[in-house]
Order: sequence, then structure tokens, then C-alpha cells
Amino acid sequence: MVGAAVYAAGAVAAGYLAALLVLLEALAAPGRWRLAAYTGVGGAAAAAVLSVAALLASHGGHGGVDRVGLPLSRELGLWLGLRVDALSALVAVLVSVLVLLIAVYSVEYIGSWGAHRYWVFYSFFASSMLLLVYAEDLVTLVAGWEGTGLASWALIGFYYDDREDSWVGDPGRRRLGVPMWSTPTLSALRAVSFTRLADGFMLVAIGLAYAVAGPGGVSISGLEGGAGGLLAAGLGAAGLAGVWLVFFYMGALGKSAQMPFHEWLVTAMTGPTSVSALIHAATMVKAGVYYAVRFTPLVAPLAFALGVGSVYRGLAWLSLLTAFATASMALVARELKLVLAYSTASQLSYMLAAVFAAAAAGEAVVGAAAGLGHMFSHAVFKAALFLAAGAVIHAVHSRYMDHMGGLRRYMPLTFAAFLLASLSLAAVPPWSGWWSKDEAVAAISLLGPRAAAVALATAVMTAFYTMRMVWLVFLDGERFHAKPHEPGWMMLAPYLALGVASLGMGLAWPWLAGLLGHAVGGHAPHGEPLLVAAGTAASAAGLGVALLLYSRGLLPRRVEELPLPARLLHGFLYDRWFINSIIYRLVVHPGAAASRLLAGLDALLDSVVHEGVPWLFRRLVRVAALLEAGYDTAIHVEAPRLAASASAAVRRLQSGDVRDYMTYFTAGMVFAAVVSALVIAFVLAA
Amino acid sequence: MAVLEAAVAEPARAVELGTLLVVAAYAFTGLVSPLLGPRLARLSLYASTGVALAAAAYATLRIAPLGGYVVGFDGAVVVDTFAIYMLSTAVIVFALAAVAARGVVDRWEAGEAFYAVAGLMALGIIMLGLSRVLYLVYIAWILAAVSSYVLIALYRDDWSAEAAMKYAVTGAVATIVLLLGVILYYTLAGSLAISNRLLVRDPLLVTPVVTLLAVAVGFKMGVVPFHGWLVDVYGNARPLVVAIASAAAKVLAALLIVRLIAPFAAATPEIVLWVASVLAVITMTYGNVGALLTVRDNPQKMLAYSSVAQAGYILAAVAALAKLPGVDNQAAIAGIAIHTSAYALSKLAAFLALDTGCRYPGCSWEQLRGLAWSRPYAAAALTVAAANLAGAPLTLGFWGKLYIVLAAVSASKLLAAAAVANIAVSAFYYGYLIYQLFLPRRGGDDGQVSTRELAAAAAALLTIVLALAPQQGYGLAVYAYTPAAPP
Repeated sequence: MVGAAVYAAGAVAAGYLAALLVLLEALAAPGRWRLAAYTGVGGAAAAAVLSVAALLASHGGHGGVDRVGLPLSRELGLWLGLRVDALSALVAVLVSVLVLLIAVYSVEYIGSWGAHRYWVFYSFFASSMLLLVYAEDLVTLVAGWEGTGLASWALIGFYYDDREDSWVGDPGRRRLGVPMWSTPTLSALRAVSFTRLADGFMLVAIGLAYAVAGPGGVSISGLEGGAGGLLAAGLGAAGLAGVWLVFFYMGALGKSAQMPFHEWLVTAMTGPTSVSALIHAATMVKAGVYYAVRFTPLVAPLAFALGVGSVYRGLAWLSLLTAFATASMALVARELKLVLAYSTASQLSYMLAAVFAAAAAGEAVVGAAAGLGHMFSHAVFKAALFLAAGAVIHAVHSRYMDHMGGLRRYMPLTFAAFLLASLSLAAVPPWSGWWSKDEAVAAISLLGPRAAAVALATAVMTAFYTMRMVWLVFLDGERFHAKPHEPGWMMLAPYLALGVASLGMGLAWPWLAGLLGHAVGGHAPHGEPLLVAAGTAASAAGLGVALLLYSRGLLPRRVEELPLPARLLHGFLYDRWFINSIIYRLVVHPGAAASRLLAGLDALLDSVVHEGVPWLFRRLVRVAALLEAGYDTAIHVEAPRLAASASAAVRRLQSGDVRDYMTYFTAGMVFAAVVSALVIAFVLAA
Repeated sequence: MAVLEAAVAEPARAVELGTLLVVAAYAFTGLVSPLLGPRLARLSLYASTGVALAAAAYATLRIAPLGGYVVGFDGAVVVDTFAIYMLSTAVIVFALAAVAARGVVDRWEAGEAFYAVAGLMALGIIMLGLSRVLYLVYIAWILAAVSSYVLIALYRDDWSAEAAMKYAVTGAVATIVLLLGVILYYTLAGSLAISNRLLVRDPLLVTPVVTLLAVAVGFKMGVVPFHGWLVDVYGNARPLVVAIASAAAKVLAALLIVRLIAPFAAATPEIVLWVASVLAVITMTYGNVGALLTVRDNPQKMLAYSSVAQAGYILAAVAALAKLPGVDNQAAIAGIAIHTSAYALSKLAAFLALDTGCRYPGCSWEQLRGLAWSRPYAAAALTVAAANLAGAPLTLGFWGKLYIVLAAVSASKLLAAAAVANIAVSAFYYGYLIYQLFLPRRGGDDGQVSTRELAAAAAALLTIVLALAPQQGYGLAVYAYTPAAPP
């Protein structure tokens, strides 16, 4: 009987092997892009099968914990360890199944251009994500975390030729002097910079945990065991508990696009839509949520013991703000993928808010269950939405919804899948989104009625922009010039399956919720009837208002036709609350100025060293030459002359006449007598 | 037999016996051997040297356990390690001079007198070094002084006669001054005995005594302004005899300083420090500055001025003696001893080399140029001698100057700085001398290797060998002056 962890290791290895194979194929057979694609799909399939095997081997998470590992450093006591428990096994299955479906979709979607590059990083991403999920300790987790970040960078910038149809934002639009559009290469850099900044704090926190509690402080088993107390005692003694807790979650905030790090996710839409679906909606951005779900039940008790539990309150409000802000931005977005990106950030914020709010209320496990549940349902319906959006954009050759409309007639299956997923996003019963969002709102409401109100307001907006999106793309009048048609089955089947799954999961939710609740060590969350009713009402309100406004044509088609206050509000939302501009003005531009200043200083230093110093020395040489001449004369002419004249004087004294010598002698005697007399006189006087 | 048995039992008796043997040997050399002809006279001097060195070695071994000194002849004579060190140097110098004189002096009109006078001079120095009563000091002084005048005058020419006359005239005055000093000393101390722990501490009385003795010693060393004779004698007389005279004079002066002046130094430290320091600086500077221009005319004159400068270094050590007895005091005494022995051997080597390498009279740089290629022994001896006098490392002169400078630093940093500056200046003309020796030779003849060259080379070699054991020389010189000093 092979252990579950061995299957997990196999699942992790499958993607890496596939990446290596594609790399070799790129060298050996650069023209055969289908081979590369099927190698990637094969790797994804193997990973999916093995992760399911791991789940089964651990008996659906009821088989306890199975671990496997390689020693990383015996001196430091660190392992490259994998862990299969209920949580990691379930999330890994979700990840690997999505990876497989999207891989199938990608074969046709990506085609030949850059295929090898795409499949290397796609497979690499899949394995890194599984490594992150299966990680037994924070060191392994960071390894996977960095791998996903690298793949994310490479795939956001996949169209490195910066072709215009893959840009994000309106070219030429500036706010506060900051460009509001982004090219693939710039977006890739933005993603790396924003997440790196946040990751830096997380690495500090991990290092601190290791320093305080040793290897146990950075491993899940250790934190479950005695290392947690050690960690708390060490941090408390150092007075670093609050700072550590904030740093500890900072990486998750960056990865899961929380304010003020959310901007990278908006512009990450420059990547291929399959990448947006997998990495920037379904999996990688969930890494932060997974991290929070995984560690909050372990860390929250320590935080409360140290009296810094209020940090969770702040984190929860930050997530709620992000949820509200990004949902409001989605209301006015013109680009289909951008609506989905805002929506993703907003839904991620729901999950994190649920985790943090419940933790702040002392019920971390409830929050973790809610966050995990919404993570599952969102991963499925958002992947479906993105994949379908990719097909639509492909069909009309435009990323703007202004150029779509009425596509239900041309792409009925795509419309069906999109609609199924959208109803889940809008939280219509009995779709999975309805269940999971109500659970999240219930968890958020533990923070207080105001938090619940914000969550519900966000829910109204969510339903509204979902309806708006469906209307503008599929139901409205036709505004395109192309001849749209359904994509091939390779592309269609995955998102159709995912769309159906979002309904199927909703039907099976009571069972699934129990499974997920058990995975985080609790039970299925109980919906508060009042909150469920309120949430359902919010959803209905949003859908209804949007349908009314758009079907009746109550909204002006052009922004210019809006009254001034509404136009200002529209501009505020359309320009992403000016957060991007503010970040550039406060951080990026001053940073660039500092960089230019340092470069100027460097140039100055350079010219001082390479021009100033030689100039100075040329001057000095001239001065020295003048001095040298005088010195030369003094040494070689004057000094010898002086010595010679002194010597001559001495020689003159030595006249050869003995009478002179006697005179000297007598003078010496007199001198001696005088000295004697003086001494005697001095002594007598004393 | 009874005398021998007593000598075996009693160190004092043994030392008395040894002293008697040495005196008898040199007296024989001085008084009887000239009657036997130059060859036997020379052999007699060798024999006396042998007796003296054997007695010195024996005495050293016998007195070593007794604190480094022993008193004999009812307190008239004291043998200590300092005296043994200095006198051994002196007798070796005389013996080497005798080696050098062979084949030169023997052809002179009264050649045998050279050895006899050398023997008498040695006798005088030995008696001065051992005397512990004042009249013996005076007698020894007279003996050594008169023999040196005779020695200078021994070579029959106008230059030598004039030099001897100048020496004698100045010396007569110096002798009178010494006599005055001795008498005053007797008046003060109430005894003829010389004691290292003199009880007289009254500056009123001590000052004139020290002054008078210092003038006499200054004359002998060539301290400015009592130096007038020195440059003319060393610069004009036959180098062969100057070799002995210059060495003997400094040894004599060093013995007098340690015997007579050192005991008083602590009584009036200020006056000794000031007078000695001022005279030291004047003397060093005078000698070195005077020597600078001799690079234009006469190498022998250069060595003469250098002798004045070297006297200045000894005076610097005398200034340091003014410090209370202790390590600095010992460094001064050791400095005087080592410096003087290095000086004696170097001057012997240098003048002997000049005597072979240079025409007399009228030695010029022209004749010394490229000496290394025609007379390698003489050139080597001159080179080593110049290095010694300049205080170059690896030579005995380096150690002597080192100890003197160390002692001078404790007395006055200014004095030490002046000494170092003077040593630096002197490097110029000593270096010039060596430079001349190794220039390409222009013509000239390759003479036979003379005994003068060999003696010079031997003296030079001795300075190198002794330089290997500076600590031993230091110990020997100061052993008697360590806390358990002679009463």
C-alpha cells in the first residue's frame, strides 16, 4: 500500500517532469508545438490522477496525516516536506483538476505561437502550486510560492511583443499624469514588484518564527504541536507579536490581491485568458486564501494569547474594503476580462474577510471553513467565466464589451456555460456561489452588523455587474463586425463542464460543505436564516435592478450623457479609485526620482573620480614641479653649499698654529672656571 | 711555591700575582727588549700581550663569582670586568700594531723603540685602568702621555716632529690640569683612594674637581675646545703610529671617565648633564662638519675629524651617567666600553689601511680610488672600519652607538636627537670613503700584501666577530657596576 504522500510527491513531480520534457522538446523539435501541448496536458492529467489517488489513499482526509520529505539541511533541521491531510488533499484535487481542464482548453487557445514557452511555464506552475498546497512546512511552501510567482511573471508577459489586443486599459488614458493602461511586459513587472514587496515581509516573519522557535516554528506539525507555545513565548518576550502577525499575513495579502497590493491583478489580464483563468482566478491568487485557511486556526489562538487578536479585525476590514472597492470598479469596466479581474479580487476579499473576521471573533475554524468553501465554488465558476470570456474575445476580436452583444445566438453553448457560472457568481440559489457566499457573509457578520452590511452591499454590486456583463455580452444588440462562432470542442468542453459543475456543486453542497468543514477541523457552517434571506435578497436586488436598467435602456450609452455627479463617480470608479495613480505618485515616481538622483550622484562621483581626480593631480604635478625645482635647488645646491661653508669655517679654526689651539684650550678652561663659579655661586645663594 | 698556593686559595693574591706578571712583562718589553733589536722587541711585545690576555682571562674567571671585581695591593689596585674589557682591547690593539709594524718600523733608524714605547704605553694604560689610588693614576697618565708623544715623533720627518710638539705642548697643560684636579680630589676626599661610593656630596667642592678632571679627559679624547692638537696629529703624522695613538687615547679617556668622573656624576647630576651635553653636541657637530669638506682633499684628515666627532658620542654617554645609577647608567657605561673598543679597533684598521694604500705624506683621494681592486684586504678593512664608525648594523660600532643613544634618550631627548642627526651626517663621508674604494681603478700598481693590511683586516674582522655577542660585551662591561659595585 503506497502512502498518500507518495502520490502527492508524484503529482508534484509530474508537472516538473513535463516542464523539463517540453524544454527538451523545444530544443529537439522546435516546430512540433502539438507535442509540447500534449506533453503539458499529459503532465496535468498525471498530476490530476495522482492527486485524486492521494485523496483516496488518505480516505478522503479521514486517514489522518501522511508525510514524506527530503532533508534540506540537517544543520538547520529543515526538510523539503510534503503533507497529505484532508485540507491539502482536497485543495490539491481542485487545483489539479482545474489545471487539467484548462490545459485541454489551452491546446487550441494558445496554438503554435510561443507554445513551448507556454507549456514549460504552465507545467512548472502546476507543480509549484501543488507543492505549495502539499507543503508540510513554510520553507517548502515558500518554494512553491516562488515557483508560482515566477510562472505568473512569465505568463503575464507571455505576449512579450506587447501586441495591442492584449493590453489592459484604454491606451492614452492618464489620471494624475499616470498612464492607466498596461502592456504585457509592464504588467509582468508590476505583478512581480507588487507581490515581491509583500512577500518580503512574509519572509521576515518566517525567518523570525524559525529564529524564535526553530524548525518547529515553521512547520505545520510543529505549530500543531509544542512549537506554537514556544513561538508565542519568544515573540511575546521580544515584544514583536503584533508586528510579526501583520508580516505573517502580508505575503497572503499580496498574493491574493488585497489593498494596497491589488493593482497587479488588474493589469495581469494582459496574459492569455487561459492563464488568467488558471493562475489569476482559480489557483495562484487562492494561495493567499489557502495560506490564511491553513494557518489562521493555528496562529489565531497564539495571537489572542499575546493580546494582538485585534490585528485580525484590521485585516478583516481591509479585505472588506477591497471587496467593496473592486466590486464597485467592476460596475463600470468596459473590458470583459477586467470585470472578471475586479470580480476575482472582490471574491478573494470575501474569502479572506471571512477568515479574518471569524478569527477576530475567536472562531477561526468557522472562518476557515467559510473561506475554503467560497474558494472551491469561486475557483470553479470563475474558471468557467474566464474560459468562456476567452472564447468570446477570440470570436469578436475585441476585449471590449462595447463590441459584443447578442452573442447568445452565435455561441449558445458558451452562453449556457457563461450563464451557469454567472448565476453562481451572482449567488442565485441553488448554485454553489449562493451557498458559499452566504457562509462567507455569515462568517463576516461575526465581526458585527456593519461588516455584514458592507458584505451585503458588495453582494448587491456583484449581482449587478454580473447581470450587466451577461447583458452586454450575450443579450444586448449586436455591436460586432466579425462572424462569431462556437470554438472547437477542446475549448468548449472544459468551460461547459465547469459551468455545469458550478450548478452540480451547488446541488451537492451540503455534503461538500461537511467535507470541507471537516478538512479545517470543524463542521459545515450553519447558515443564519436571516442572513441567508438578506443575501438572497441582495443578489435578487442587484440582478433585478441591472436587468431593469439595461433591458429598458434606462442608462445612457455614452458616459458624456450622464449628469455631472454621476460622471465624476463614473470616472472615479473607472480609474480604479485613483489608487494606481496614487501608488505611482507616492511610491513609484519618488522611487524613480530617487533612482535618478542616485544615478546622477553616481555619474557625479564617476566624473569626480575619473576626471576630477586626474585634473587635480595634473594641477598638483604642476605645483609639485615648481616646489620640486625649489626643493631640488635647496637639496642639491644650497644645502651642500651651506655644509661646505660650515666645514670650511671649522677647517679655518684648525689653523695648524699651536698658539691658536692653546687659545681654544684656555678659553675652555675659562669656560670651565666660569661654570664652576656659577654653580658655586648658585649653590651658596641657595 | 707559597705564593702560588696562596694565589690558588685567595683570588686577591692570584690577581696580585697576575698584575705583577703583566707589569713585569711590559716593563721588560719597554726597558730591556730594545737592547735586543727590533725582532726580539716585537716578540717581547707579543709575549707581554699573551701574558696580559691570559691574566685577563684568568682574572675574569676568578673575579666573576665575587661580584666582578677584586681589590689588591692593600687597596692600591682594583681589577674589575670593565677594566679587563677595555685593557684587553688595548693590548690586542698594541699587538696588532706590532704585527703591522713588522717590515716597516724595522727599517727605521730606531725601529726597536717603536715596540718599547708601545710596551710602555700599554703599561701606562694598564696601570691607569687598575689603579685605585690617585698617585697611581697620575703616574700612569704621565707614562702613557709621554710615550705617545715619543711615538708620534718616532718617524723622523718635519710633519711628525711638528705634530709631536703640538701634542706635547697641549698635553703638558692638560697634565697640569689633571694634577690640579687630583690634588683637589685628595683635599676633598681626605684620602688618595678612589671609591665608587664617594661620600662627598657637596657641589661646592665637587664641581671644581669634576671640571678639572673633565678638562684633562677632554684633552685626551679631543673634546672641543681642547681638541686643537688632535686634528693636526691624526691628520699629519704617519698613519702607522696614529693607529696606535688614536686607539690608546680613547681607551685611556674611557678608563678615566669611568674611574674618576662617574663617581661624581651622581653628586652633581645637573651640572654634569648640562656641561657634558653641550660639549657633546659641540664636539660631534664640529667633528662631523669639519669632516665634510675633507672629501675634497685628504682622507687622513677625514679620519682625524671623525675622531673628534666620535669623542662627542662618548661625551653623550657621560651626560647619561648623570642619571642615578640604574639601567640607564649601565647602558651608558656599556655604551662607552663597546663604543670605545669598536672605535679603537676601527681606527687601528683604518689608519693601517691608509698606511699601505696611501702615500705618506700627502695622502689623497686619488690614491684610494679603486683600492678594492688593488689591495682588497686594505679596502675590506677600511670598509668595515668606516661601517663601524658610521654605526652600521652588523658591526660592533652599531651596538656601541645603540647603547649610547639609548642612554642619551633617558638623559635628554634633545641630546639623543642631536646624536642621531650627527650619526646621519657622518654617514655621508664614511659612505664617500667606501664609495671611493670601489670605484674603477685608474692604473696604479698592485703591491705585495703587507702585514699592515693583514693586521687591519684582523682588527676589522674582530669588530664583526664581537658584534655577534653584544649582550656578552654589555654584561662584561657593566658587571662590576651592577648594584654590588666596588666600595
